[in-house]
Amino acid sequence: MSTPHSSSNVHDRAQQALADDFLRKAVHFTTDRLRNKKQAVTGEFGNWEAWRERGQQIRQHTIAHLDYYLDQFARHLEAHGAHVHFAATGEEASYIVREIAAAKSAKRAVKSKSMVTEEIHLNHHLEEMGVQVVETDLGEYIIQLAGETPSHIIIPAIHKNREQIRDLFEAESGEQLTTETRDLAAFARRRLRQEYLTADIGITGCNFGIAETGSIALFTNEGNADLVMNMPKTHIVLMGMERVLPTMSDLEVFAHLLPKSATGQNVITYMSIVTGPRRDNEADGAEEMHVIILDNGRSRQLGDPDFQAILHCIRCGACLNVCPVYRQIGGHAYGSVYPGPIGAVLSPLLNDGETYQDLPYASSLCGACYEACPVKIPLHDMLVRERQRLVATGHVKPAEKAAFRAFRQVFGNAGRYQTTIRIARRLQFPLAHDGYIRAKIGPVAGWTTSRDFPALPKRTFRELWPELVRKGNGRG
Amino acid sequence: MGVDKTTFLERIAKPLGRVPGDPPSPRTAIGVPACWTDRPSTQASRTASFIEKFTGLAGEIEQYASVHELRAGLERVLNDIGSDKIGAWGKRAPWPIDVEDVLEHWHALRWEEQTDRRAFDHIHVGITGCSCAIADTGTIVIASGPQSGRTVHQIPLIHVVILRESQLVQSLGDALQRLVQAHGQGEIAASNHFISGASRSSDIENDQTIGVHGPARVMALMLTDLE
Repeated sequence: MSTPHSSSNVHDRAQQALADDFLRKAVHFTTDRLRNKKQAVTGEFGNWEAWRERGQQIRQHTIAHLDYYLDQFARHLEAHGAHVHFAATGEEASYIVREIAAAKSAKRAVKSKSMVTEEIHLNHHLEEMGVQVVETDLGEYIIQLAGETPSHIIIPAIHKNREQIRDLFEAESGEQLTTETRDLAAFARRRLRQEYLTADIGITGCNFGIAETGSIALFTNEGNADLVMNMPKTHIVLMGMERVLPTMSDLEVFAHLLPKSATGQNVITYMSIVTGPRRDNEADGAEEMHVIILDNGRSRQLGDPDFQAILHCIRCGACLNVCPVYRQIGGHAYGSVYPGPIGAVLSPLLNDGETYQDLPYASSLCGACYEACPVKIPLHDMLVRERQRLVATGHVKPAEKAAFRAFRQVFGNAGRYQTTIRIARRLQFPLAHDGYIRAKIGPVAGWTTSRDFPALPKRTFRELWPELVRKGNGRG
Repeated sequence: MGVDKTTFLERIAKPLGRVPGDPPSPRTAIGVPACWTDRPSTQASRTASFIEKFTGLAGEIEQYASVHELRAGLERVLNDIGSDKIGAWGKRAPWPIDVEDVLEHWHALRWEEQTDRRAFDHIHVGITGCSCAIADTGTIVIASGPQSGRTVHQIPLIHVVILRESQLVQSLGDALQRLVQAHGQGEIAASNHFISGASRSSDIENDQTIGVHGPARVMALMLTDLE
């Protein structure tokens, strides 16, 4: 799979996104819609802060005792006849899925939307061994046909217009279709129904695992996860290890927080609570159920006072919809499976190496993400701490380092500051017009190509001050 | 491949400063906040809320004062739909109301323990009962069982659900507690499906459409069996 923006750094990818008018309009429209709906539904629901507070308390307690609740969850699942697997890495999780697929001689798999399967590139691993994987969420199906990756956690095909979707469906089927939403959706229903009927394996994620009963709770609006888990003979669940909740009572809290935060819906259309494979006397439902619990970098955040709370996340995407950066550049510019503020924090934490280290800088640190988060994760603080760690470990450009050293020296001494300002006022002369600096090249150009940079005034406040005092005394 | 459970849990417990297997510290907050549990609730308010929320999700509801009227209502609904591709739970399923004569009249395909799921692939209307329904959210709850296959309400374009007013509970939490009780008795269903309206998607240019995978139309026929 590829993204439309394949440059190696977030700055260049953002530039590409900013040049795409359709994308920008679509992202603006969608995020506005989701944000306004959330505001309306939470206002009507009432006491939203009390719900957020409760969500945070439950997640804090669960993650602080994660070993206990995962153990309870796994024991109950096994008692209901499910197979539970533990994977330390994405490679291990993919290997387990491939082993199951090989044991079942599987040729076809259907899948419902799951960020964790994107995280471990599961489709690619299965296709390598000859298993055809079909995404069944309408948005995911569209971007799978396009050979792309999701651009939003909740609405993955935000960047595709109806003409593009029609073309993709026509190329896939050879049928003639209109661009009417109803016709396109009807095509997807017909087509995907055949996939459910012929699939050997159904793969889902897990919104929440309930330790008290050993249940998996899955939320969808389309109902595709229900068919994915019930129609093929084998159901495989991939879940990040943090997705557990202690009790059904806690699930009630998140069954309110998640849809209201994600799409502004009072309630999700379908919530499936699956507790093991079909019983002996049942004629439908998966005969075999495998649950794979994945670490993949998550345990590194445990015990870290700065970042443990990132494991409280319930993947609602509310932080994306309010982020002034995401709203301008969309999801692909982040270059990671998880976009927006959550992606800017999570991707560098889950992945070692240089790949995502520029993401913490893709933020204005305005804190809107924290205000939107249903479990009150301080994402803006985390972004600052990630930047601090990058600087402390030497991941900073030499020019930036030199600039901050110079800044410290100039601003740390009044005499040096005054001298520097006097010199800068003279040097700015060729670039300053109408009170603003307009540089096309050089170090300032990175700022002035898209933002104002006020020129230094002819006189500083210090120089004005004696005159102001005189005038003030004259009045007195 | 993969790691064993003990090693996996030890890797989690250690950075948390815990000994694996130790019980958690007492919880200060479980479940919903007090503002949600302290709400007044009467049967009348539950019924009114369910109808408001269910119809707000484009569900269609008809109320009947007697079993006889409900059966006649079901007959009329099926006539209006005009399809003979009807499927329904089995005779021994936990039906809240006996509608056997109507189902027989329409030669409904019935779900039994030995049913081949593929026989239901072309069903147009699925008729089921439900375990309970939730007033706060307009949600129908359906538990899977030997005579109440999931396919019956997940595959067709139209889902007709039969329920009694006395099956209404106030909150999602009330319905979830029933699952906990069933688990305690070793009887939790493999699937409990919480259905709030018709299958929907806004994935094409934010334009909402219904019936993408599940039913496009959900109808409830409710017996008003309370004073």
